[in-house]
Amino acid sequence: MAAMSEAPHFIVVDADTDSQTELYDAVNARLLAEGAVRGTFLSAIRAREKTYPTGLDFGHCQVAIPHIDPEHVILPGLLVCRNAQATPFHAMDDPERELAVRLSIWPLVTDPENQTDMLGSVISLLQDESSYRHLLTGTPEDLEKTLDGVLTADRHPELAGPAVVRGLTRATSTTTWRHPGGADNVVDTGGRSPLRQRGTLRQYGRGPHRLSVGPSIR
Amino acid sequence: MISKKILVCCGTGIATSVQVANKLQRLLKDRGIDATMKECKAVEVPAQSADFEPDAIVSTTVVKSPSADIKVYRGVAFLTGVGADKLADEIADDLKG
Repeated sequence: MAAMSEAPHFIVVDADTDSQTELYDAVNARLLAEGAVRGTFLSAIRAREKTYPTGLDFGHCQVAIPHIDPEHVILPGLLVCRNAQATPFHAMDDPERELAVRLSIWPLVTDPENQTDMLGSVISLLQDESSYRHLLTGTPEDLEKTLDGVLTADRHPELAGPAVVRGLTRATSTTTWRHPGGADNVVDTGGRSPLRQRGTLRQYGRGPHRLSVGPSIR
Repeated sequence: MISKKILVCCGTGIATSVQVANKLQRLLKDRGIDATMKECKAVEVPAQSADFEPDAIVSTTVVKSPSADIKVYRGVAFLTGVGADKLADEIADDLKG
């Protein structure tokens, strides 16, 4: 069970609100129901967003990546919130600028050394407009496949070409995506793969071409 | 290949600074600079600057330069990809100059 609880959760929340408060409440309620965050999460992440906003303007889309220190998080994972309407998030590098955000990605980090790769993978994916559309409009099952494809590429760096960066090494974590529905829905390719890499070190760099490796990227 | 030190910071020091450091290190290498990267929180910039003595600071959030000698660049381009090559050119030129 210990290993299971360490596996990153992948959660999709679909909202339909123009209220920032309602959006935060919806995400927080779902995370609390999943047992993924502590009672301090909501106020901590709102305060953090005020001081250090997380809106990113990719040009073709505007996305926010709200995240908070590990002390407020219980289970590692990634929540993707798709909103039928846009709500305002402020730009990370220009807090006075307001972005209209429908897609927000919430990394749930309990171990920063090992879990920031998943955010990087998703951010790289968002640079491609069709991937953004897919994340925003795909079924949760499609999303899971897409993200699992990206993370499969993470688990098999030998497929990703010679993108090696000196000096930055990170221990990689096993990226097992568990659907919140429970054990019957476990997508557990990482856990059973002979190429499982828990506890091993690999070079941290990767090329942009890597994201095309996953079989389920469209 | 010349060697330089870059301090990369973000709000929490746990997520975006790592992504920026990774991307920028690769782009600088392409431009003939072997960069040693260090990541930190925005609030740690003064202390980390004194300790690490970076040649430049790249931040995804708004930070003040701790010293007139150290230029601060806004690094969100390395997350979104928008203008990333141009900014890498600028940083590389400044570091070589």
